[in-house]
Amino acid sequence: MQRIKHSKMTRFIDCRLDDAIVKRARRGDLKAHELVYRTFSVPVYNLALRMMRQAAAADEILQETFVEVLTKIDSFRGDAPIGAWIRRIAVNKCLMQLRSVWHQRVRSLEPVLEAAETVELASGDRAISETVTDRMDLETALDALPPISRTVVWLHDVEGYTHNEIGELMGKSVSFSKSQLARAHKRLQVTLGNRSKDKPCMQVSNNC
Amino acid sequence: MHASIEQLLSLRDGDAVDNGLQQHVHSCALCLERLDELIAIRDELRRMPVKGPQHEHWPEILEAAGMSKASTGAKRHTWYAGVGLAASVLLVSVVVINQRPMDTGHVDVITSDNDLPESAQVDDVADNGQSRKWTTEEIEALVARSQRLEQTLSAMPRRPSVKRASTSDTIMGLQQSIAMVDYQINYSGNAVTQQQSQRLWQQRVDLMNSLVSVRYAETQPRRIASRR
Repeated sequence: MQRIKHSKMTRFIDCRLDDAIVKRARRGDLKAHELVYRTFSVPVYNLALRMMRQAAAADEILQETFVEVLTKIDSFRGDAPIGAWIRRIAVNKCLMQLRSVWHQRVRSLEPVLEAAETVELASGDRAISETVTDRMDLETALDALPPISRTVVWLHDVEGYTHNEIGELMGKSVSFSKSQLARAHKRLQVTLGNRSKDKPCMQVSNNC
Repeated sequence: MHASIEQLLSLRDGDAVDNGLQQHVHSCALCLERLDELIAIRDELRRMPVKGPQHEHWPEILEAAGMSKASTGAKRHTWYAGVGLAASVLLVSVVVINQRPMDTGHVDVITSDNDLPESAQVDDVADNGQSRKWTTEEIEALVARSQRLEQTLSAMPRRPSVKRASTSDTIMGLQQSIAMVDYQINYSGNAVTQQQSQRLWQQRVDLMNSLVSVRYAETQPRRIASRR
């Protein structure tokens, strides 16, 4: 049996699986399926955790994703790496959860998001830094983003999805994805305490 | 005129941008600084630690997919148990149905007759316009109904290994509401009237009914919807 070593930086792009294992999994070999799971469980969980913010929700997404991988592997055509197919399943599961009425109801009870969104609607970017503690680390700032912005920034900047792909996944346009990415970065910059936009425009000196 | 964040992101990502914009950004210290910030944030996002699951999920995944030896061997037993459970829940549903909508978990905190919701006051008015007096037997019937629902709930199979966060939220909400009603029942003592006591027990029956329904729905086989 092939041993899979998990490095600290285990992302989808780092994971490779021999085609022979995928073929065995498609024939119903449970050991092969377990290898698929062991290879991709960490990146799937990590993706779900970043999009959903909660470990319990990430656990649920992880399980649902691999139940679907187990039961629907026949539908994997093999025209892209299996990791891409598994990732797409996981992303779709996350998006379905994020769109669910229950998840939106739970979200509405979260004070950080509610405060930030209310203030932003009222008086613009500068106010966000007044409601949030002085300097957040990036992980906290990412978690504080609204779900859609957080999803887009994670899928685009980390998972490498194009705006076209994100638009397709979310049932929206390319420009929607671009504007959400811009919005996410604007909020990240403000909550991380960057104030460069207040400086005057200066000509770069040419020392050549 | 500074470049917008969206324009800077396009530059950062190598998307097509206006030549004039590109020239401006490369000659403007502020825009260059903002572009560097965007690159730095992206790089930091990519360097964030990768987090893996804290628990072993493989056995549960196998079971949920119907591929564990245990789930295969126990399928017939589960099917029969499911039929028995469905019959008992149906019987209880017929007994408790009084056309009340599913209780969403709102609990009326009753401290005096004035706290009774208007609907209860209307229900408690008899045909002659006098306040309806609930008898001890009627309240005891509600108590018995609540106990039967408790027995049904405890007879149900344990919750599935793959739980939906939304269902868990609902169940937790209902359990908390039941706990609130129990607190009022247990600690009000002789301070409540027959009417208040009836109202509390009716609330308890409604909440238990909802909890049994949600738990029963959870035991039904789930269909996994796949999206390409």
